[in-house]
Amino acid sequence: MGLDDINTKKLYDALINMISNLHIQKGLLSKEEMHCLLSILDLVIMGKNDPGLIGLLKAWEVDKLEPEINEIVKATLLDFDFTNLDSNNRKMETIRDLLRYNKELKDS
Amino acid sequence: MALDEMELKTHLIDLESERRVLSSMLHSEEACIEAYNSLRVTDFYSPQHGTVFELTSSLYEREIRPTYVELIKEAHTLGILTNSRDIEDLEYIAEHYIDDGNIKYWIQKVRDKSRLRRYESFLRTSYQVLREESDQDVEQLLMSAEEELTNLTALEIDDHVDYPADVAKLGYEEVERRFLRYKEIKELHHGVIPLDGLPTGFYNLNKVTLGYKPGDLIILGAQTGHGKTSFALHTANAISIKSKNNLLYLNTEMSRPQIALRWGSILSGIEHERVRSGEINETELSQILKGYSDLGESGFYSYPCPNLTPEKTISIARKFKAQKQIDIMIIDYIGRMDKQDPRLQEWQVLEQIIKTQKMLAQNLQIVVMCLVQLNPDGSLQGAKRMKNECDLMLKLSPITKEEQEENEELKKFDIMPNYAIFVDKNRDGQSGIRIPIYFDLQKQTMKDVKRVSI
Repeated sequence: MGLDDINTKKLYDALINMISNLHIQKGLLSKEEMHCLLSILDLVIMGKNDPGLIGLLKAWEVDKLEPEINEIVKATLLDFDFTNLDSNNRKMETIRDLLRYNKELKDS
Repeated sequence: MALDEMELKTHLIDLESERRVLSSMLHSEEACIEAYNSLRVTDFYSPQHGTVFELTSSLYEREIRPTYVELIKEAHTLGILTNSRDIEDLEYIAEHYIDDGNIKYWIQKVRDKSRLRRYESFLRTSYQVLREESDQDVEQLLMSAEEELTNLTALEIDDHVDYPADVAKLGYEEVERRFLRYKEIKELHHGVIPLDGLPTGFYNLNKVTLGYKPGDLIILGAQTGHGKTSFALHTANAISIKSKNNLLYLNTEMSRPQIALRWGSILSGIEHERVRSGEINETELSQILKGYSDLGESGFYSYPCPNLTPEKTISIARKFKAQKQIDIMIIDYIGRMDKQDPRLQEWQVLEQIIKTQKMLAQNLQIVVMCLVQLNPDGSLQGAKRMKNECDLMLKLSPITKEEQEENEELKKFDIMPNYAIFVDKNRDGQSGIRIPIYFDLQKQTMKDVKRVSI
């Protein structure tokens, strides 16, 4: 995807402003959380080379995760290097393992 | 009707166009490249717009796609644009959407306003100088004003893009032109090659280069005392006296009488030392008079200028191109130009000057020949970069006595060559060629040597 039409541009800008304001005005997001969300937004809207992160995020159904596992997934995501997505293979593997482990916990 | 201050300000500022350019840079990579290549931070009136442009450009330079997201991240990392007012301003900039195809139009609007502001500032400063300085050197005052004004319009980058059909058309025309010329050489000129540009003054150099062409930057390097000025004046003789083309000669070292006297011996063939001391007879005096009469009717314009700067060369060249339709400008020599920035190394200054001269040659469609000084080992500082910029790089050096005695090839000429021109780079033809010549040090003249045996 890219910013080909004006509606996508507007949506993209509105989301950026919302995320920025959640950090700057409301203090509900930390700087790191804001950066992470903004980077994910760029990944989705700008169609940057995604090594499979979007798929993993879709599988990350927060409410179904154990709180501790949820925190570890979040911390791993915040530690992502969005300037070089291919260098995050180990972190993505960690998230994948955590999601698998959580599923096994729920199933047992 | 005169504009009042407020109206003038509106005339000079266009914040909407600035926002549209910036918004487009944040939403389209192509628009960003276009704006990055065409604008400078100083083209933006609003300091905040300048900051956004600078940040976006910096991301682009580091090969990070400069999206709105990356801009915010970058700004936060640097600790700027961090309060909610800044975010509102950014939001306002971002929503000035344009069709990406129109980016050139908005860039042009930003650029035009920026140039108008520089022009206004020039007028204000000039008026201030006029009011404050009562004891002025009028000539100097007008010269610096002209220089400054010229630089406002000079060296605009020509952003012409050739589409596939343009390249194909141009290529065919070039080949066709060469084909017709080749036919002409065979049929009309009996094998003598007609030149594409100005004569070099040497038969073999003409053959290798087909003459100096408009837009060419030529660098001639030689060590101190190894004939730079003689080469320049030999070129001037061939172009402006024998071929009657207009030439501007800028000399940073010699005085007006020194330059004028040099011509005396070059054009009469009488030893320079005797011309200088006046030790000549009546016949020789009339010979010299005849030479000067040829010079008087030639296209040789001389501009001795000890405090030459790159900016001044632009202003002078533009003036002479407009008023005298010069075909070539020779700068003798660039190592003597005044440094604008004392922090720069010598080679960095030379590189900057060379780049300016190349743009000047292309913009005015004239030949620019720069004379540079070689190191004692024959090398040139920053030579690689200079070589990249120029179209023709020549090195002039003496042939040693040993080589004259040992090299059998040199004995095959009508006169024993004592100098050689080395073609170090030739964009349009063969390079790595050494052309032997004869340099008469007493008469300050150079000439071809003819091969008499195989």
